Amino acid sequence: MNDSPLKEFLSSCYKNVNFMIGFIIVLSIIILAIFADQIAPYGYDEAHPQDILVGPSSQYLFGTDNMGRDLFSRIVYGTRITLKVALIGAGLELILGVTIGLICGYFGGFWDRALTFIADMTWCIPGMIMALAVVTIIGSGLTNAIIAIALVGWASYARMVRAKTMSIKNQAFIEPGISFGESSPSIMFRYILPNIIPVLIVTISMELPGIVMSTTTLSFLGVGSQPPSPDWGLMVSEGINFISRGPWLCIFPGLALIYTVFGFNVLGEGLRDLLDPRMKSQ
Amino acid sequence: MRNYILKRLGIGLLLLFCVSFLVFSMMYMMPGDPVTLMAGPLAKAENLEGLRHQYGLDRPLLVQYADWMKKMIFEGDFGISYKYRIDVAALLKKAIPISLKLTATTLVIAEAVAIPLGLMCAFKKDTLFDRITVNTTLILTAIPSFWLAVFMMLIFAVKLKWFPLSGFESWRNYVLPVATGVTGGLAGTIRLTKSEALEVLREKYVTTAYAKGLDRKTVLTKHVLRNSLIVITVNLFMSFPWLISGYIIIEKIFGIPGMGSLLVNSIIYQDFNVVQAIIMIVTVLTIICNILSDVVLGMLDPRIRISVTGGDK
Repeated sequence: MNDSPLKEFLSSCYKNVNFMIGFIIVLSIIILAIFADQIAPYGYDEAHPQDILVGPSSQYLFGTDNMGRDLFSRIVYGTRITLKVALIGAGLELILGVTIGLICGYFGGFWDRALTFIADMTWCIPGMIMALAVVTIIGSGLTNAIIAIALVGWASYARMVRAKTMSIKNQAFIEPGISFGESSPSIMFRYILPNIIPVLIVTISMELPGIVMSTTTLSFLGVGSQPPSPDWGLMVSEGINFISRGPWLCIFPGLALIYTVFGFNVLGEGLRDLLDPRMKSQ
Repeated sequence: MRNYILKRLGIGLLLLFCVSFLVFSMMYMMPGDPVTLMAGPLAKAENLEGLRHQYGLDRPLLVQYADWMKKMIFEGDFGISYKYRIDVAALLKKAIPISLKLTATTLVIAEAVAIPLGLMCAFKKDTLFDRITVNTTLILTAIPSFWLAVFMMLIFAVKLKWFPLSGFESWRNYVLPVATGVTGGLAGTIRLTKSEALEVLREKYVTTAYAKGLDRKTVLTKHVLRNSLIVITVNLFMSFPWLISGYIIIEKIFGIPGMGSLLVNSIIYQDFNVVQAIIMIVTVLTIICNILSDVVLGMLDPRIRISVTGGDK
């Protein structure tokens, strides 16, 4: 890529308010996650038995929980979990969805029908119910919760990739590839996939908040992260027991989650406007 | 048109059949054994065998599946709950009306608030009102329902003491759960209504209506509102089953003994028959709603009728 289109793109990024707000929020979360050891004043599992359920103060910015752990430190460490969820969840859905979507769209016929049918099936069972059932089978835990969410959510990627592949595979630039003897996987991944990437980025960024939200909800219900993990969903559910004595235990982890999801949402909207003008929001 | 409806129905039935088998075999794969759970850890091995035989759990998977389907379809019998030792149907009879009341109230209130707001946003695009509403929906979509529920509890039940914390006897218990559900569902409907109305506003017949000399109010109510309501109604249809699943968390937090709480508790206690029954009911609802909305849309829009042959919408 030569210099000027890139510069042009960057300046249009800079002008897009949604993109910039989202970018700054997500960047702040990434920084918190990377430098958690430096930023957090205490360890996420460091108990202060003399300071149980202390309200927000200068010593404990967001207060302490029933074991005297500093809430602010736990929330800072929680960014790592959230980012892990976002990365692994989106990655899994992407691998499943793109592969299946490409195969369906490129080959068509029986496999297309069969896989579309399976995708339709996952749409029939509401996601949360399906994810709960999957987690029950494969066992609780953060990684399993992410897998469950991915197993439920890949269909939307597959649908999108399939539709795009079907429209691209008949275009003129595929023909030379086939006549040069390129194999089908090579056509799919080297000719078709690069053309889908912009839409794919938009789809990922639109799906990310959902992945984070659902996984946190599973943790809240007790089938995701297990204590003493500083998972925000788990922290809210632990806080409910102390809702009248320590309301901050529920409020701050939730606010952190809203901040993150809002950041991903806005970033997604911005990316959509930048990369796919046809899908532009009203 | 008849072929189209038949085709949708056929696909729906096939989907239903496959989902039912999937759900059934999923329960089979779950760790833990319902009989051990039911009899307790002190039960003797031969007693367990007896129980297993009594409930037919020692038969092959396919036989159990066929039996389960037959009883469910022809007798409305979902088997017995291993935990409560009563018919699943009796449990459901208590839980479903509660969930239905909640979801229906939520749906009505959410639509009554969201549709006018969405239409106003479309008609007054780019005004201050539009910007505020759109930005509020952006924030609303970022709020997880479990946190919203806890937050509402904290403010209105713990601090202000306006409403009780949990329970389900009086109408006051329903205020907070419904408020949570409504707030959660608002954003999506507002955005959908707005984009739908904007689309209609761009149609040629709207220009024609203006050209005929109709005043703005008539155009908006007679042409735009009617046409955009079609898609909105269909979406309302489709959101119903999803609403039920959304209430899983809300019911659990507020301690309302509806389908959601029943489902979560049954998963925890590995009460297979209850889990199966609830998932099946929700799935049937979803598929019926999907077919209905497809058929309605197909009647209204020939383009969808044709594209459905490929299976994508």
